[in-house]
Amino acid sequence: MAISITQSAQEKLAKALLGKKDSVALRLAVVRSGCAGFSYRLDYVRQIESEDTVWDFPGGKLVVDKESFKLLDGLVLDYIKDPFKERFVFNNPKATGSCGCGESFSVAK
Amino acid sequence: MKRTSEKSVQDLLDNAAENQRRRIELTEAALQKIKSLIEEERDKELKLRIFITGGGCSGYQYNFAFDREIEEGDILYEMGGVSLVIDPQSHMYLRGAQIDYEENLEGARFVIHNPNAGSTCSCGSSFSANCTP
Repeated sequence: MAISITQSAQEKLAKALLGKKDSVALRLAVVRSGCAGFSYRLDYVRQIESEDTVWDFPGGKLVVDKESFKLLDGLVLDYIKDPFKERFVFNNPKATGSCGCGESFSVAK
Repeated sequence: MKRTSEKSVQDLLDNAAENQRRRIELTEAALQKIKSLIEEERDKELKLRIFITGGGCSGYQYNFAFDREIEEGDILYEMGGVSLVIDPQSHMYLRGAQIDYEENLEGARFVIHNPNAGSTCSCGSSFSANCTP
């Protein structure tokens, strides 16, 4: 039961939290949207909830709520930098299909 | 025969005038990003080439590359110390567009605000064309 965060993803998350004094962590959640049914959402967190699972990394914390975690177990969160585009890449063993641009995904029923 | 060539000369002139009227713009953020990418490559001859290919969920796709060469017919822009080159076909789909660079929590990318695009895919890299250029 875990999520792993690559070095480059940790750096991006830490950079995003830098200077955000009100935010204690970043939240990764799964929401219903996109052409494949579900998509990932990152948000700033002011307060960590009791049912959240928390991952610590140098420079910050990533939290995931209980419902989202069911669709994220085993996820490898990566951040890829191309010259013209930088983005998070979600290598999710629970995802069975994904949209062309990788923004949304589907899961086995 | 003569009439055809006269017409094509007029087409070329109209096309050039339209290119001039609806120029492509770079935002300050885009300009700074292109500058820093070129500095990283340590090659001042590099130009940013933007071109459109078929593909993506909306039919057409934006592509970015660095190029040292200018091909025949390319439209060249020089703005704030950077050069932008666009082939004539792609340019028709990009007339009047504004090129921006956006950084947020999810990542960072070049964003094209394109008046010729009908709809744009959620990831912003693909679009459908509103009109026949």
